Amino acid sequence: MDSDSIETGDGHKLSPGMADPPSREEAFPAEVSQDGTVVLGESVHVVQFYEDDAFLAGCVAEFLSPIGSEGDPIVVVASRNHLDLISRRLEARCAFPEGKFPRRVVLLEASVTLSKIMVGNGVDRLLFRTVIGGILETVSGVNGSRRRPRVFGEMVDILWRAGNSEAAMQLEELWNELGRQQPFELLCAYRMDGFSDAAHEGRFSRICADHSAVIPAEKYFQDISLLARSREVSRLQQREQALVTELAYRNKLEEEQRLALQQLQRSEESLRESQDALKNSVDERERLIEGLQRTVRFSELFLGILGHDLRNPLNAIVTSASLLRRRAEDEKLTKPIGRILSSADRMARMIDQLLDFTQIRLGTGLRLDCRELNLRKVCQSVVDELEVAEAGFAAEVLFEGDPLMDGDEGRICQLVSNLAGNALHHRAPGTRVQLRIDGNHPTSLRLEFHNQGAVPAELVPVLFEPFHGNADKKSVHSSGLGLGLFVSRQIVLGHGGSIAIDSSELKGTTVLVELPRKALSGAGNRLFDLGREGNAC
Amino acid sequence: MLETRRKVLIVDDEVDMLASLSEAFQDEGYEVVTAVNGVDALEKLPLIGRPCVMVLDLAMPVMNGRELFSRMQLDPRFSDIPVLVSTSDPSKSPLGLQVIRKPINLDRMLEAVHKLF
Repeated sequence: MDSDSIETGDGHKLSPGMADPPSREEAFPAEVSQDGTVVLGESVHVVQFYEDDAFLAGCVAEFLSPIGSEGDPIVVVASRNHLDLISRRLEARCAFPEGKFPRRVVLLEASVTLSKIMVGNGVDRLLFRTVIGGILETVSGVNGSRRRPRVFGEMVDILWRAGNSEAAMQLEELWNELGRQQPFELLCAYRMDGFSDAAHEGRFSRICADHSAVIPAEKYFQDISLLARSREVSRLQQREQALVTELAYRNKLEEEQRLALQQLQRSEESLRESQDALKNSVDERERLIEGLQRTVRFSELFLGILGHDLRNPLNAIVTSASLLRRRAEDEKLTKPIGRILSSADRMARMIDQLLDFTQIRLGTGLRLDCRELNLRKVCQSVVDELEVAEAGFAAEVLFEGDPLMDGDEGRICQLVSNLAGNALHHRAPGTRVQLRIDGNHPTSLRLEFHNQGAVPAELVPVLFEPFHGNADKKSVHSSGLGLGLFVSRQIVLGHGGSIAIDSSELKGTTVLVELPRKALSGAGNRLFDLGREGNAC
Repeated sequence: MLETRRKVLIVDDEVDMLASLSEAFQDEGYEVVTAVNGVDALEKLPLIGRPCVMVLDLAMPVMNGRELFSRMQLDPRFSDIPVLVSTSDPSKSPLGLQVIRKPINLDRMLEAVHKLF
């Protein structure tokens, strides 16, 4: 190609290094229709790729030349911009009579022509044959001699760039179909930047296959040296290989990403299912807990009501038995009456403990009526009662310091009675119980209940738990419910005190109680709730 | 046996308890009047003459012992009648009253009543 042979003549200048348009001989080799790609009879259908509008205009002008008075008929279907560029190129090449194109040259605006052959998003075959076929037929017969028209068209590119690739492919096929019936030379063109996506590869290949010849974009013509071209082709082949490898790698990555995404989705689904299952389990657990709490609460309420209602007949039994004992003079009567009273007294204690337990468990708490009391007197009276009630009870009461404190006298009596009674029942045979009251400390009083006897080690940790007596059923003294120490601890905690046990075979057992001397917030009625351990009067 | 018959009003909703207590007091020479709740007691008090002691249960239907005691405190005719509370739950007793815990030790109750007048 001669680099000086192109005159733009339209104000456009090819940029430095820009390739010259290929000559007709380059673009349309003699064997063009023999390449086996497309068989069009006498027609030729060539596709031109380009990057620069001026280059395209030069290519089209080259394709359409020579345009003399005896030249072939010409049909140009192009965008408005390209029509202008191509017209100027043609005018620069050919001196038309009176400055006008001859009748055998037809210039059509592509968008207007498309509007005449499109129905919806597709090209209508009949309209195409009528409009395009009619134009070609007409120009072929101008001047009375039938000559093969040369056609440039870029309607396909307009459709392609509009995103309607299906219609572009359809239009290419219609051109080929028409070419088999009436001969023409067709050059169509696509801008290269319309194929910048890797996904266009398939359609690009099809476009190349659907044409009898393919003219590369201008870069192909930049250096016509065979050596340089071979070098460039090799470089492009390497680039293609690299791109193919890169594409394969990307496809692999995409596949891995897709699989990972699927795995993630499955994991998320599994997680959602697990969360749902967990939520259901939690809901079910909460329902079960709620049901159990209701059942337990009902049971405790029932125990409370039962215990309360048992008191009345028991009180009547005790009072009546007491009356009988007062009246009876015969030992045959006084002994069994004594057993009735003893059993009734034990039952009364159990009912009291049961009611205390249910009060604590139900949250109503132990009622504490705190007033000033003399702990020494309280302890002594309890010991005196035990000595009367319990045959063989022998206690040594030691006292020192100030005996006054704030407390609920009834509950303190209950506490001392429980702990002294326990010390009595579990002492070693023949030994005494020792009750020591230490009032020397200014803010608290200490009570120590000591006997010679050891608590089994496994019982110590649960000794103050309710019903711990169940673990000690074999004991000859296990006549209660196992609530005495539990209630005792609640009484101590209700007063703001503490309770502990120290037991060994060698030293015996000591229960140590420490009670604050003064109520923390003044005397008065207080309810002590198990859930708020440590409250004071 | 006491030289003059002194009157005791026993207020308790448990009839067996009332019966046993009545007999115990009668054995000791007391004249006994019983009432089964606070309203019953308030109705009988003006009619029976002043009792020397009232033995009062707390948990009763219709009107409980605390309410009866409050009403009596508002009436000058009854406000100075000595009251011995008999209850299973001493913590519910009105302040300042002597309390005997149920189940009752009769000897101790009779002694306590005797000391009240």
